[in-house]
Parts: sequence; structure tokens; C-alpha cells
Amino acid sequence: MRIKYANIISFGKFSGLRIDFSRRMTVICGGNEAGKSTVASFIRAMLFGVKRCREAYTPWGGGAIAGELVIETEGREIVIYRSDNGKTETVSFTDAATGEAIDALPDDIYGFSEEEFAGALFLHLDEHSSPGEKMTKKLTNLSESGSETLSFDRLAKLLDSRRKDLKHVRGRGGKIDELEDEIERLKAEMERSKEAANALLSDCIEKERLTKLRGDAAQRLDEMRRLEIERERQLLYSSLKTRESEFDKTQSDLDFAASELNSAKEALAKEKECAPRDDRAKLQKSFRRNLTAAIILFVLCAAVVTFSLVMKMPLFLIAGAALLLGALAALFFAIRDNRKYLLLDAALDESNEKISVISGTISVLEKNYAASRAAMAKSAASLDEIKSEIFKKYGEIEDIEPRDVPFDAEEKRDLESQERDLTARILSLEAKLGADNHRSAEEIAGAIKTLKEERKAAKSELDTVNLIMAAASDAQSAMKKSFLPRLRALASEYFCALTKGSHAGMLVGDDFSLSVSESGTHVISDFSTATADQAYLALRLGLAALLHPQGDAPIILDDSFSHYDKSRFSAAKNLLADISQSRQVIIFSCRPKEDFEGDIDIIELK
Amino acid sequence: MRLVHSADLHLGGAFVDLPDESAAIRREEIKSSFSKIVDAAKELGASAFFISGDLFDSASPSPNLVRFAIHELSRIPEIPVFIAAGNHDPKGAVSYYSAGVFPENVTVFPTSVTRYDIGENVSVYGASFSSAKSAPFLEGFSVDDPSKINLMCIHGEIKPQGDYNPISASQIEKSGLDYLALGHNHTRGVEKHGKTTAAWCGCHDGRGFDETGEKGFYIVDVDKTGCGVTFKKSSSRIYHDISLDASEFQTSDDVINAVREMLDKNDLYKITLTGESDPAAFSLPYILRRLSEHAFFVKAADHTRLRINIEAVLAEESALGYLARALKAKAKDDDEFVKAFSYVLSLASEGGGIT
Repeated sequence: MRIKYANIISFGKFSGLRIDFSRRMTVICGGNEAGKSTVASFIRAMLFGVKRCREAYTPWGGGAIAGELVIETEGREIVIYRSDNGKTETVSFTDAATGEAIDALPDDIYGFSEEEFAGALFLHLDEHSSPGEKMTKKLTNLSESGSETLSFDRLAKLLDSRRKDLKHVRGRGGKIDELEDEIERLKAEMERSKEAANALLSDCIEKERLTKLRGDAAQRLDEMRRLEIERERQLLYSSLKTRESEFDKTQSDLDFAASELNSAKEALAKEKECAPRDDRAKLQKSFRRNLTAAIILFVLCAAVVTFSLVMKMPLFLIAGAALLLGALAALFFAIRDNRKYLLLDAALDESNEKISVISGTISVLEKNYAASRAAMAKSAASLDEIKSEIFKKYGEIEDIEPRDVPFDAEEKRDLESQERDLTARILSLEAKLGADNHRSAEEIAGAIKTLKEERKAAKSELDTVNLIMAAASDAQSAMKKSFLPRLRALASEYFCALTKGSHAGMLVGDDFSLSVSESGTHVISDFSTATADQAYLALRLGLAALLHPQGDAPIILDDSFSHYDKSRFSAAKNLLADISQSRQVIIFSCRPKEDFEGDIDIIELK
Repeated sequence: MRLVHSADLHLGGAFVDLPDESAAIRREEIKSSFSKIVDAAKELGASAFFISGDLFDSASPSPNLVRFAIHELSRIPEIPVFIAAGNHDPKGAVSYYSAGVFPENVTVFPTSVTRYDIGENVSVYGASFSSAKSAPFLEGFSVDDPSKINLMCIHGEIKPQGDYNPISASQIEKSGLDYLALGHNHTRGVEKHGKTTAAWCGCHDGRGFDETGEKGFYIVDVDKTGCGVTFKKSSSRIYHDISLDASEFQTSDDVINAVREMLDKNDLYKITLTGESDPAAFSLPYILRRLSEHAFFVKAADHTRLRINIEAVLAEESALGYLARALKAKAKDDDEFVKAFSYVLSLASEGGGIT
């Protein structure tokens, strides 16, 4: 990747500034405050984000930071656009040829990460630092033949994070401890549950026993209630029978009374029918008429006789005799009438007496009859009443066999009382049992088993993580040992070039500490700042050469020659000119542009 | 005579594999499966109903469970029920079994071998565990009257020694029993020793992936001429433990397509992927999510070996090669090495470590 040009829309002091960079070496020179570091920072900001420098490079003219950096990578020209309004940053990667947005991570587009940029490709004035850990890991991947590449740093972070998740190194914490705490909690809960279960067992058993007793009592009570109903039925039917019997009797009485009444009435009728005709008036009249006739005839007879005697007319005696006979006959009839009258009168008296007796009897019988009817009506009503009651209760009236029902009211009362008492005791136990909300020990044991399996898996994972972390550390050491000799050779070579062979070489320690070979080995801090600058420049150049041997990443030096004397500067310039044959080099320098000569693009900031 | 033989119902037992909701459903189903056996005993007109131990999962089951069992056994008052307490629900001093709470048709055996007669021709022997372990009950045992049909209902295992009423083949042979109804072993089986048929019907419904297949009880027709033992299913769902060679599969969907056809919506499955696979080829959460629509419960484990050529990686001059060699040197054995190396590769699926 190389940087084609920077289009500073607004960034710090600059706005509307375009800077084109050479494919090889570009020198941006200018005095203090000319804006060299601003341009250097712009490049870094466009590559990796404005956030870090948004406060330092707020546009002087106000508004948002904005700019474009056009880079060329793998034959494509890509426009990086970023703007930042102080709160949010907008970024886009666009294919300059097609205008299409590019959906890829910056590191993948550039071919290097920010750490790598900071640690190897960009050297700032007085920056005497070793490559970052992350880049160290990257270094270990150099010139590898494997198909996979590994970031130990990322791996370590993931493993460390996972380890922390599983178990904190210091103090309690992490999944394993949480699981252990939970297991302990559940164990305690299980113990409590067992204790509670044992304590409750007696209550439960007692309750079941009482429930059974209540069941028995209820069953017996049901039987009693059934018997009570049966008894009531029997009583009703018994009452029905009695009333039916009573009804039959009243019916019979009524019939008898009616029969007697009828008989009496018949007797009366008969009596009346048989009674002599009351001809007494007629007889009396006949008597009086006959008597009157007799008297008259006697008188006439006497008169005729007298007349005959007087007149001596015997014939008239015959007439007198005839009159006498008539008178006698009339008398006879009068006497007969009288006798008949007397006989009739006696007979009538007798008959009337009989009728009177019969009538009296009828009167009594009629009363009896009325009483019987009333009794029967009452009995019928009573019967209807019981029938209606039975029908109402049973829907029909059956012909049931009367039997003794062994219902015991006292036993029923006892059972009811027993049932009430048992129910109260059961309810009391149920309330006690209901208050138990413990999970069963079996359920808890199941949960503990699951947690133990989880804990076992977590411990196993922790062992694995620890093993990998230890192995990764070993692997890193081993890898460092493999790339350090190459880095040492390259850095030492560059250092010799920079120092024009005034030092035998430079050593890079396992921890990237630098030392210089000169009459023995001396740590870099024993030397002047300029020599130290050279050493660190050599290290950076060595790193860049190792990381990007194809020259596909630029080297950017920001005021790296400030402490150099003429000789050192010349050596550095020559070395960088050589390097720029295969790699883009961008130098920000406060040296006058005249110091740079040859095939170099020089941009002067004022 | 015909009898129903069940055992190891473990009412109230936990379901460790299942999430809470599914476990709650299974707890009810286990009860329902027991009711099915009671129904069967009633429909078959069984002359006896044997429960050869571990009716409950513990010695102190919840009152609700005991009530449930009482209620169920009360539904067959005409059938004598014989319960032998097992190692999970021993008949201790304080126990529902000792409390006389069961209905009259239920006999819980005392803690020594005791005989009960059904009519004139049938004798039922049995004994209950008094604690979680039990010495042999059948040592020196023989029936009182060999001319009768002699049955025994007991919890125990056919092995020479052990903590759970160990029973030897010769003890069975010498017992004079016609049928020995056993519990304890959750997988059913029938053996004949001498003239005695010994059988353990297994558990009545699965509770975990160590209890796979159909579960149920035995219907036993027994007379002096021999025994006919018929298995009858009572399990509401079936546990399946499926091992699947995933070597040919490239993606999680390949696994799903292959497994889906095997699934029954009603059942529970444990799918173990074996064979070889590429690093992080399969996403178990995705597979489980998709398969869970086709079964009551699915769990899955990826036990595939990595298809990566570990020997080649070990020889590589790469960071991975360095790490592989360091792991190999530190690991106790090959298994630990492969496990750790697979872990490293699995981190790739988390977007880290390896590019």
C-alpha cells in the first residue's frame, strides 16, 4: 500500500490543502509551526481514526474535521474519507475507479494494523520504544509456511477473558466459583429439604391416617344417611299402608252405614206401604150416617108403629117392622163402622208408632252415615297427602316390601361429629404441610448433579485454557527465538549503515532492548540521543523490512533527524533513498529543503 | 393366573437433562404412565399387581405423590397389590409404607421375607428394603408348599455380590418359585434358572438418556407348567441416544437434514456427532434450535475429531505450529492435546486468535 495524496478539507490549521506523495520518497519540510506534525497526524487520523486527535486538530476555521486520503493498494485506488463533528465520526472507503463502497476492515485494506503502523512504520521524534506486544506476535508470523496465522495477542486476550469468566485469579469469582457457591447453596437447601421432609413425614403420615379414618367415617356416615333415607321411605310407606287401611275401614263403615240407612229407609217405606189406610174419617162419617139413619129409622119406626097402633092400621106395622129392620140394619152398620173405626184407629196407632221408631233409627243412621262420610273424606285426604308426599319424593309409588331399617340416629350424630373433628385436624395438618414450600431433595439433587457436571466441564475448560495459555507463552518464546536473529541481523545492518560502520553492530535483546557493540556491549542509554535515535530508526527499519519485505507499506518519519549532525543526516538520507527504491518513504523534517537533493519530491510548508 | 409386574417407577425423581418446564411436564407424564399400568391391571383382570421396588424415588416422597399412589391403587380394590420397598424408598421406621395409609388391597411387605396367600393355590412371597442397602434376602430361601403357584415380588439384582439384595442363579434355582418378579435394573430382561422364571421389567417410563427405548411392565401368565411373560409399553415418551457419523457433513444444515428424519415430535433425543469434521464446522446452538421444533427435547454433543492434519500442523513453521508443538509438549496425553488444540481452533468461530 502507498499513499497517493492527502486532501485536507479541514484539519487543524489546514483547510483545502492537497499534498501529493511520491511513489518513492517525499519530504515535507518546514520550520516550527509550519504544520508538519499536523500533516503527519492527518495521515494517521485518516488511516486509523480522528478520535484520538480530534481535540488537538479542531479546525481553526471551525466546523468538523474532514479530509480524504487516497491510497493505492493491490492495484486499486481507494479513497478514505473521514469527518468528525466532535461527537461522531463518519468514515467511508470508496473505490476511486468505480465509486463503490468497500466493505472491509481498515487493517485488511492497508495490510497492516494501527499497532504495526505505530510500532514499525511511523517513527516520531524522540520515540525510543520497543515494538508493541501485539506487533511482536505479528513478527512471529513472518515468513511462515503454514496456512494459518495466529495472533497470540488476540488469543491471549480471549483466553484471559475466558479464564476470568471461569475463575478469577485473585479472590472468588467466575463461573466455577459461582457454580460452587450454587452447589453449596443447593446442598444446604437439600439438607434443609431433607430435614423438613423428615419433620413433615410424621405429619403427612398422620394426615393420611386421619384421611383414611375420615374416609371410613364418611363411608359409614353415607351408609347411615342412606339408611335414614330408607327408613324415612319405609316410614312413609308404612304410613301409606296405615292410611290405606284406615281409608278402607272408613269406606267399609260408610258402606255399612249406607246399607243400614237404606235398610231402614226400605223398612220405613215398607212400613208406610203396609200401614192401613186412614179411613177413619170415612168410617166416622159412615158411622154417623148409619147412626143417623138408624135413629131416623127408629123414629120413623116408632111413628109408624104408633100410627099403626093408633090408627090400627096393621099394615103400617109391617112398614114399622120394615123401618125397624132398617133402623136395626143402620144401627148394625153404625156399630160395624164404629168397630172398624176403633180397629183402624188402633192399627193406625201401631203403624204410626212403628214408623216413628224407624224414622228415629233412620235419623240416627243418617247421622252415622254423615259421620262415616266425613271420616272417609278425612281418611282419603290423609291418604292423598301421603301419596302426594311419596310421589313428590320418589316420582312414583312403588309396591315396596316393608322391612326393618337399622338406622341409628345416635350413631349418625356421632359419625357427623367424628367427621367434623377429623376434617378440622386434617385441615390443620394441611395448613402445616401447605406452608412447606421446599423443593424436594430429589429435584435439588438433580439440580446439583447438573451443576456438578457444569462445574466439571468448566474446570476442564479452565485446565484447557491454562494449558493453552502456558503453551502459548512457550510458543511465543520459541517463535521469538526464531525471528529475533533475523531482526537482529537487519537492524544491525541498518544501524551500521546509519553510523557508517562506526559501531560494530547493534544487538536486539529478547525483550527488544537495544544495545550497541563497541568495545564490548553497552546499553543504548549509555550513548548520545542522536545514536539512540539512529538505533531506534534502525530497529524500525528492520521491523518494517521484516514485516513488509515486499515494500508494500510506507515508512513515515516525523522529525526523526533533529538530533542528527550532518554526517548522521547524510547517512540516514542515503539509506532512506536506497530504501525508497522499493518502499514509499515520507519524511517530515524541519531541515531546510536544500538539505534534500536528488530524486526526491519536496513539499515545503510555510 | 395372570399378574401385572412393574418396578422402578421412581415417582418424584428428578429430570437432570431437562429444562424446568419440560421436567415439570415429564413429572406429570411419569405419573400418568403409572396410571396406565393400573388401568391395564384392571382391564386385564389381573389376579395380582406387583411393584418390585422403588415406587417412589425417595423414602420421604411428597404427600401429593403418596396421595396420588394411594388414589391410583384405590381404583383397583378387587386386585391385591404387593409392594416391595426398594433401595430408593426403603421401608424405614418412619415411612408411608409403615403408616398403614394405603388402601386395603395393598400389601407392603415387611422387611423380612413374608408369605401371603391368594386363595388356596397361590402364595406370594416378598420383602422390603429397610434402608438404602440390603443383604441377600434369598439366602437359604425355599417355598413352603411347592404344589402351589409360588411367586415372589422383591427389589434386587442378579449378581453374586452387591449392596442391593444380590441374588445368585443357584438361589433362584433352589427357591422353588414359579415366578420371581424383580426390580432395580432399569432395563428389562427375563432369565430362567431351574424351573423358576426370574424377570425384571425395567422402569415404566424413561427419565434420562441412560434409559433409552420403550419402557413398560410385564404381564405374566403363570401356572405350575410355566410362565408366559409379555412386555407392555407404558412410557409416554421415548429417550433416544443417537450417535451420528458426521464425517460427510459440511454444515450444520447437513446435520439437521440428516437427523430431522429420525425425530419423532413426541420423543427426547441425545445426538452425538462422531467421525471427523472441519474446525467449527457445526454450530450446536443452531442445530439444537432447529431440531427442537421436531422433538420434545433435543440435546447434542460434538465429539467429532478435527479433520485438520495435526501431524502436518505440528511440523509447520508457523505460529500455529509453534503453539501445537508447545501444547503437545505440555499436554498429559494425546487426548488432552487434541482437546486443547480443538479449543484453540474453536476460538476461530468466536472471531479471535486465528485468522
